[in-house]
Amino acid sequence: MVSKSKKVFILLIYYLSPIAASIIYWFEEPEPLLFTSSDILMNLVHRIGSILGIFAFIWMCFNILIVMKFKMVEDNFSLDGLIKFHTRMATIALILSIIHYPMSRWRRELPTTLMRTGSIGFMIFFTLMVLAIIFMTNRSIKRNSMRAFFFKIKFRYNFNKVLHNLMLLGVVVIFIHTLFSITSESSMLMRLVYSFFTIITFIGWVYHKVIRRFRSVSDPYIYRKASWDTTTSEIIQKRDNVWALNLIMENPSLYPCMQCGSCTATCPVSEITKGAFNPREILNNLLIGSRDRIIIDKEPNVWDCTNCYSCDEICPQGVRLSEIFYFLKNKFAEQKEAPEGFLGEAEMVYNFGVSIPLQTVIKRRREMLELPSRPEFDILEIQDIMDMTGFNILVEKSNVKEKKEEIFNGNS
Amino acid sequence: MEIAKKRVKLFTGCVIQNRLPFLEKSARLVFEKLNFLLEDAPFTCCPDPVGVAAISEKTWLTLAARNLSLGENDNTEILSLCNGCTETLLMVQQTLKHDKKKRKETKEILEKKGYKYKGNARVSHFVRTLVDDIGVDKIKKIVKDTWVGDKENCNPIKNLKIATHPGCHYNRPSEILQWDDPNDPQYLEDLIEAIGGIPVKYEEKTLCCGSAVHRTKKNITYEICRRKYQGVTDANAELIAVNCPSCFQTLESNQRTVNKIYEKNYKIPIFYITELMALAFGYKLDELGIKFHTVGKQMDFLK
Repeated sequence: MVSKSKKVFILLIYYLSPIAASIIYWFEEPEPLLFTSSDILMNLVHRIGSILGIFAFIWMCFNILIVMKFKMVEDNFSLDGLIKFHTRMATIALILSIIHYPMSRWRRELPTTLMRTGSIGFMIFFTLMVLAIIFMTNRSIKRNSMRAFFFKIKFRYNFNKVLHNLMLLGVVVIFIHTLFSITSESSMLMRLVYSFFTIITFIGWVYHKVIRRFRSVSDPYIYRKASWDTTTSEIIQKRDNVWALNLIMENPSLYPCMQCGSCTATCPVSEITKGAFNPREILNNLLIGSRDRIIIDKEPNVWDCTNCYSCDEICPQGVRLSEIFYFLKNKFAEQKEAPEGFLGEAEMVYNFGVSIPLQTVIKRRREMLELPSRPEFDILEIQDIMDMTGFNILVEKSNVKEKKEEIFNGNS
Repeated sequence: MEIAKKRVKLFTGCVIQNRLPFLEKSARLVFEKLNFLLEDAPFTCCPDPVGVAAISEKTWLTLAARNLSLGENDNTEILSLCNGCTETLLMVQQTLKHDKKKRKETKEILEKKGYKYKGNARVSHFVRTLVDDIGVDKIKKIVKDTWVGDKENCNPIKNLKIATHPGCHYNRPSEILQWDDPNDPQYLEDLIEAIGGIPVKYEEKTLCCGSAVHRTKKNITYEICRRKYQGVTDANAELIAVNCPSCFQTLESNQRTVNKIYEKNYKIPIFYITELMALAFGYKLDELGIKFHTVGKQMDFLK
């Protein structure tokens, strides 16, 4: 349940913490001797630069804390919102650090370790920005050949992971840099603020990397830990197959499949057909992008799945087989290749709004059992809604009157 | 002093409403006895998580969002009698909560027809309501009070060996439904014990009924049903208790064909949980429309 007051509370903590820390800094930082107006200007620039650094540091801490997935945060914000937040705040913190660098050093003598660590951090972040602009701009590049090129490099070398690890390295350097900025001249309060944030972030990081793996998984829509380095899909990505890459982009839970076969072992249909229906094989075909086998040959036939979700339950990598099968079935339906049994039901829903229309004999039974008649909905309104989702194109729009006669007079 | 009745919106689903109305009857009797006020709303098909979702995910999301929005309006809980409907409504709610693009598209379409989707509807499967909200103890007490003074008749469910069939969409996918143990569901057995029956353990409890594959490959369904019947027979159960109308239909209507193909003689009546409860609460066979069952019409075992 989303609670507005809790949402506001969380956002207040997020935005007021750096403001509070900046206020403490402004009043606690010892002022140097100021003689001329340019001294005053330099001091002001330095201070504002340091405040930007404080914002960057505290927001980096929070970004790491967000991956601890506190229940209050997860309940009140949606997952795609949180992921976007995580990436955008990282970018903002990065930009603030890069602006902080020249502003803090402008005509100032600062301790050597502070300067060195700051410079190293700055170089890492600057490189990161340049690489990100080149390789992550699949959204802004319009020309398809360039886009496919960068897309391929991104997946072939798992560039996302490289950039993320580089970012983490930069963050570690910045943490060391921040520790050196707590000089013996800084006030006790400033030292407490810095230490507090460093310690809680460290605890959060340890929790995320170590303890969370053993927590029982009941997070909806969060993919479980995948063995990124040994998955079949990693090895298989060496082949050029944009269709497969696009499919994985649309069904990201497919990526960690390591072809262990647990899904097939537990599938009842697989057992009954003596292995002719094989979910592991379907996923294998998808990962290697064998469009012919799946779409054209239809081997194994995904429509044989009985939707019992046993495979989803048992998969150790959290691959959402049922979702992937729905995705495939939708593709078949788009190409007008859905089996008659499914299309027939879809037609019913389109023509009557229910998958089983009310026949006279059942109506009489309802009256016999003294059941109230169900409230009616406006079928034309429902049909408009379904038209807006494109359902009318997928089912053949048959004549309602003919269909009704067929049901009541013929065999159902 | 009258305790206020709990208002819920009854979501029967297409199969119960238009094919097996006697299941609705027993559900209404049971819940009215438990002090619920059952309201109706113009729900359409949930839509079917096996059929419509396979054709078009967008339609599936939109129609389900419309159904959910009908329950949001006056903040009443939607009480669902069918596994599939509960699964659809809860899964769509989760999908739309976490995916901004789909949420936006769905809301746009619904707003053109005047529906507002907020995403905070409460949906509950009827077994969950019985076990969580009402509690097994209260049900036990009601059953006891019904038969305590009666010298002639006794609880027809007493000491009846019952095999439960939870169905696949009862608590899978467990990440989203988050109810009961996905490998060995226990709450249904607690409910059976509360009404006086004896729950029976058998291997194939969590096996699917095979209804989804009946449309394309019937022989797979027959084999799955045969395994179920054999498991139930080996465990000496007298009937199967289900909580999904699709499972009810599949397990009932395939018995004759399975008997013919495999040369067996299974005669296992299928009952809905609400029907068993209604019988334990003292309602008669005629009131519940038990004659509309197709297997075990004689009901000899019910003394």
